[in-house]
Amino acid sequence: MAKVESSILPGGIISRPGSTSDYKTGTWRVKKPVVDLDRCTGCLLCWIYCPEPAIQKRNDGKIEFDYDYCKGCGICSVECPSKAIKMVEE
Amino acid sequence: MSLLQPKTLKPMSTSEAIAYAVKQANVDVIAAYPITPQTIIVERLSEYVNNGELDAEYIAVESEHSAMSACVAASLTGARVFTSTASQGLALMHEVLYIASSLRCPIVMAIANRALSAPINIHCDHSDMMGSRDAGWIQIFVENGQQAYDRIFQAFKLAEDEDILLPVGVNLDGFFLSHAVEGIATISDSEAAMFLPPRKAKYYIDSSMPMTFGAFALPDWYFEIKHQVVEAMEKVPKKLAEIEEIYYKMTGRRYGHVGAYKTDDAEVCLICAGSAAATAKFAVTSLREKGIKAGLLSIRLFRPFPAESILPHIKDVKALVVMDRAMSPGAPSAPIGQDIKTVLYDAGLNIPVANYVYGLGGRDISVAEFENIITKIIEDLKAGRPIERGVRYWGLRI
Amino acid sequence: MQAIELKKLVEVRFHGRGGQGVVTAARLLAEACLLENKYSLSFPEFGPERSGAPVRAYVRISDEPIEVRSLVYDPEIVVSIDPKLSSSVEILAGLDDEGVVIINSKNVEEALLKAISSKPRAKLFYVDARGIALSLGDARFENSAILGAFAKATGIVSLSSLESVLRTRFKGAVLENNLKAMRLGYDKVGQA
Repeated sequence: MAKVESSILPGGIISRPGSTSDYKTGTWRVKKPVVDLDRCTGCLLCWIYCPEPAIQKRNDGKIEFDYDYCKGCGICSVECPSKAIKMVEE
Repeated sequence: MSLLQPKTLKPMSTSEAIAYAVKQANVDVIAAYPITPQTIIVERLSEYVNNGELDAEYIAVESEHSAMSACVAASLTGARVFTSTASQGLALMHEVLYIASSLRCPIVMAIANRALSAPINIHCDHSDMMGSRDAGWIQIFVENGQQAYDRIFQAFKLAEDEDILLPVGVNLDGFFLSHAVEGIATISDSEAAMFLPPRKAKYYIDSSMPMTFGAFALPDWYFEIKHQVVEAMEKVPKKLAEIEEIYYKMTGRRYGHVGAYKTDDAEVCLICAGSAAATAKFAVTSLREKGIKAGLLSIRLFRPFPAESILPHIKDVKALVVMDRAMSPGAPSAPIGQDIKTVLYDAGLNIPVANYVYGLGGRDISVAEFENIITKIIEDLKAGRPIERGVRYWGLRI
Repeated sequence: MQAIELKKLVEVRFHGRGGQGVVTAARLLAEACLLENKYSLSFPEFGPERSGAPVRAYVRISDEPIEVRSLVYDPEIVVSIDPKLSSSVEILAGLDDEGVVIINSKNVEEALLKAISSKPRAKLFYVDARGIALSLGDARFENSAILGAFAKATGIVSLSSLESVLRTRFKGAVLENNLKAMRLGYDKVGQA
């Protein structure tokens, strides 16, 4: 078998769980989300909506971003009921 | 081949023989939608599951597209999976057929070859299967009920081999075979279990051991993953021969990649696939009695095309007759004609090929017609007339 | 009646209509032949699969394994299960010169007798299979009556082998009536 294709499993199976985390999508971003912790109520709606998921819950119940994976889609800022997330230039 | 006494054989239609073999192969999942002339195969299997004779999941889906989709998913869990279809059903499966082969799902499917609409027709030709020719499936043609029964076991063993991991289509002519009842020699359940132990998949869907199946692949990987199917295909002829050897030791029956009959000294060799091969054999016998040096080569393994097995039988003939039970409108040759001409070209041979399309929509071809076809070519050769190239249509009313 | 000598290959063509058990009769005959250690092959030729439509079914019987898969064109034996088709000369198409014809009829129509007279060595048998079946309460027994007549007229297969096959397929009153119909067909078949 050709060397290149034998380096992957049959049918392109990826056998290592969580290998997608190798692929840092944060570089795709044009604008980044910034949270105003005074307005954040910790409702975690942003955490539900984030497609990546690049939002994590802090010990105090509020949120922070994982910029390695945040693509800057802005859904979190649209959905935040207390307008605590703003999209700003990098 | 050893001959068994007729009274020791079980009377079964080819459809019933296939269902019986699938039961003995102890499949885990069957997902199928009934369609003429395949219906009896899945009907019998649903009875086996219903009355407890077969411990399998029978998924009664709402279409063939769903049937093949369910088969792919079931196969990825490591299950042994069977389905069956024909004609429009196979056409409806089309996009999923490619997924099954590229995701390396060792599904076995019996295809009761039937014409494609329109006009709507329930009878035999190979158009359905030829439409999925390039889907990455191993394709086997059978010529009678016994071959169908035996090939089911071989198909599972071949498909599930870790070096192969490809789906297999076992093609039987609709009605000519599917509804024909004859005596079938069967193996015992314990022989079946010995020949075909439960499938042991190396990679399968398991929530305790997560893996990704069917991931997206961009230009950086798509080509290589597709080419893996070609690599696996290339291993099939040798692997099938090994599997047949084991089966032969158990049953005394073996079929090979091609069926050759009196090809050794043949001047004209006729090539065809499916049940017509058996009829053509009778014609060759009759022509030999008249002193005409005819031979027959039946294509039993169609994908991968067994060029190495074919060439020794045809390299010394004066002309070839290739009979196709499917059209390829606008193509320079019909499907098997194209493959044979490629084999000849690659071997540097310029043997004339008379390529006929015949028997569409179940139109019968008789022993006498096969004799006429071969006799005409022999006469052309004797008279020094060139063999007409391109595609001709046998049995078409003009 | 003289038994037909089993040549290398004997071909049988059944005529009838959807619902009359044409395909079943062909299959039962093929299974009975296997029991007698003869190779056999039976297969139907369907048009549209519906009740009442003309159906043909074929049986090949041989001392050797059977390979030919085409339809039957020159049958040694023609059997008509449908009473109306039984008066049609079309059922004689391709009949072997020494062939045997078995029809479902009380008597033989003049036209059929005339048509078969071109083959002086062919034999014509008739049995009122419908009458037999109706006397047992159901026209559906007529294929068994015809098979009984087949056994007597051709001698290719014995009545007891056909009965054995019936026993593997049916039970209870259905079996009993089919057995009776078969026996009556065997006893009552006559040569024209």
